Amino acid sequence: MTPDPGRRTPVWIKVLVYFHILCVVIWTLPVRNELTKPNVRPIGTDWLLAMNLRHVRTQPWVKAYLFGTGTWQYWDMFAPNPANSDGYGDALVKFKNGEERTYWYPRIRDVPIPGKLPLERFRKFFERAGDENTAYLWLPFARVVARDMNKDPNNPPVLVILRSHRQPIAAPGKPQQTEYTVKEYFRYVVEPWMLKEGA
Amino acid sequence: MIKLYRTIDAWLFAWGSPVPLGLLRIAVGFLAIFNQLLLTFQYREWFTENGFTPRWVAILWLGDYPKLGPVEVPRIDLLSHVTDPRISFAFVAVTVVLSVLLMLGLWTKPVSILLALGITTLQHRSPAILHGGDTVIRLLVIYLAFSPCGLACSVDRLIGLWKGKIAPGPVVVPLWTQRVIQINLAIIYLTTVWIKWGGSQWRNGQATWYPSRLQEFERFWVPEFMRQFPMVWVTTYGTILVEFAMVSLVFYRPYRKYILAMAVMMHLYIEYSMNIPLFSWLMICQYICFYDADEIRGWAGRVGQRLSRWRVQLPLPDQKPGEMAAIEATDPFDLVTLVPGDSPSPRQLRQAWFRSPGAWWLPIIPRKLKRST
Repeated sequence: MTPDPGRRTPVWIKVLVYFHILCVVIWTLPVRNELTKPNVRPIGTDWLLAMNLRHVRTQPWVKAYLFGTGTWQYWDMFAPNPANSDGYGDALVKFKNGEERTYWYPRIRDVPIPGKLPLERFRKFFERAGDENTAYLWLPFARVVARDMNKDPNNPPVLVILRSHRQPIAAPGKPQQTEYTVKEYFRYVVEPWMLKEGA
Repeated sequence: MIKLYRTIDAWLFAWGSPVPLGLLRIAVGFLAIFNQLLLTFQYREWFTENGFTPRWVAILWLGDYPKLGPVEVPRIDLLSHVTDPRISFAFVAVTVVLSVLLMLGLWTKPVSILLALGITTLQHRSPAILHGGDTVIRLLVIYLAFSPCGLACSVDRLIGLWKGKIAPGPVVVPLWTQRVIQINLAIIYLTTVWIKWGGSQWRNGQATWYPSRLQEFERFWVPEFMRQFPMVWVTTYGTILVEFAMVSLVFYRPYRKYILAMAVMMHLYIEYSMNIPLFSWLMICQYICFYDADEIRGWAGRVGQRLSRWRVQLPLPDQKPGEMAAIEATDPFDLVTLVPGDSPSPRQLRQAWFRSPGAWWLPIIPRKLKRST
């Protein structure tokens, strides 16, 4: 770096840069929902988080700036605690003639190493689509399954059941459960119009 | 307080060479090619109405536009009314081309702006599939779009030198984008380590026990002792320490290289053992911003000294200053010395090709080689 006192950055750029950093810090500071309650008295650094949550982060200009410029962000990798349950998804598909087949949704464990990276997005999507807070992802998920399984026009799928398979990771020193718990979390009665070409 | 402000201000708005930004641009462009190429192969699943995430999913996921008083502030989303899968495919494919151009540094300013718009659009079109690496890549291309990253290590610069429109020698530019990238990187580690410290498993030293047993994240083989105590304590508390150091001690120059080396080791271990696309590489490539161009040149000079016995001379006829400057600008370790003379023999040319990317240009310049064969 060559300091050059003759060169000055315009004031408006400085203001923008400081404002940007401020917004990013405000938006990314940890969010602990219990601190939003007015009767909770924060201790130590929680005081800063509580002030941010109650008075600053809620200011409309913070969200407007970050989402308007595309610089929104949040960082919670393996935090506050890493996931302690292994899981994957699939679907049970019932056909017009009564036959049942299992729809294979990418399960990263069973994919050869070169294929793991490209298919990671499927795992990420299932991580979200298997959550009740985002139940609106279930319908498009089930529709894709129905379309993919619609191979025979005389025997179309009539019902799609989305399933999750979960296995909690045992804490150190505890016996590890080997079986996965299967849960059917969404039943989709296939709409015939949806199977038509171009639907 | 004023003294502190002046110190921070002088650091944040210093001027210097854009070489670190140029190198970062190459790395980000390379990783963006890979990321956008994967999305191109999966465009039907993630960017069409018959895929897993039709348009209305994105609208529900992101919610209403934020408001400033009565004014709605729109998100960057050039695909907001697009439902035609052919347009979606073309859009994703164009971001691959833009990533290639960004890596090369060709038409850098418009390309970086268009790529920032493109990647932000795709992430707003399908937010349900985003992972940490996506967020990092979006932020980096936005920052690069504001930076003078095309003024170093770029085809733009070589063309300028070749045509004599740019004078050889160091360029001096404002470095605030480089500093903002450093600060944003520190914010990533700060918030992560802060949230982790609120988690019981990180405090009791058992956190890394769990991810190492998630079969959906498994990648390459890991020796069993790495998944058992006491290594679980070492990796749990080691992660906390390294991430905290990346917020604090990394800004203290005497400790910088040790902290960065530890952070690189941490990310490489994650990259080896877990299937988390691009995130580790994107984090590592940002570390270049902790170095100034003088330090990078000094390092390249020292490497060049060690390799000095491999230096070769390359005779070239009809040497023009701009053309020579362009060729020499692509020889970071100074392993090829251009001397006046007849055209090089095929053997000399082969030797130069292995030593300097600058020599790769020569076959496409017939005037330089007209008598070489």
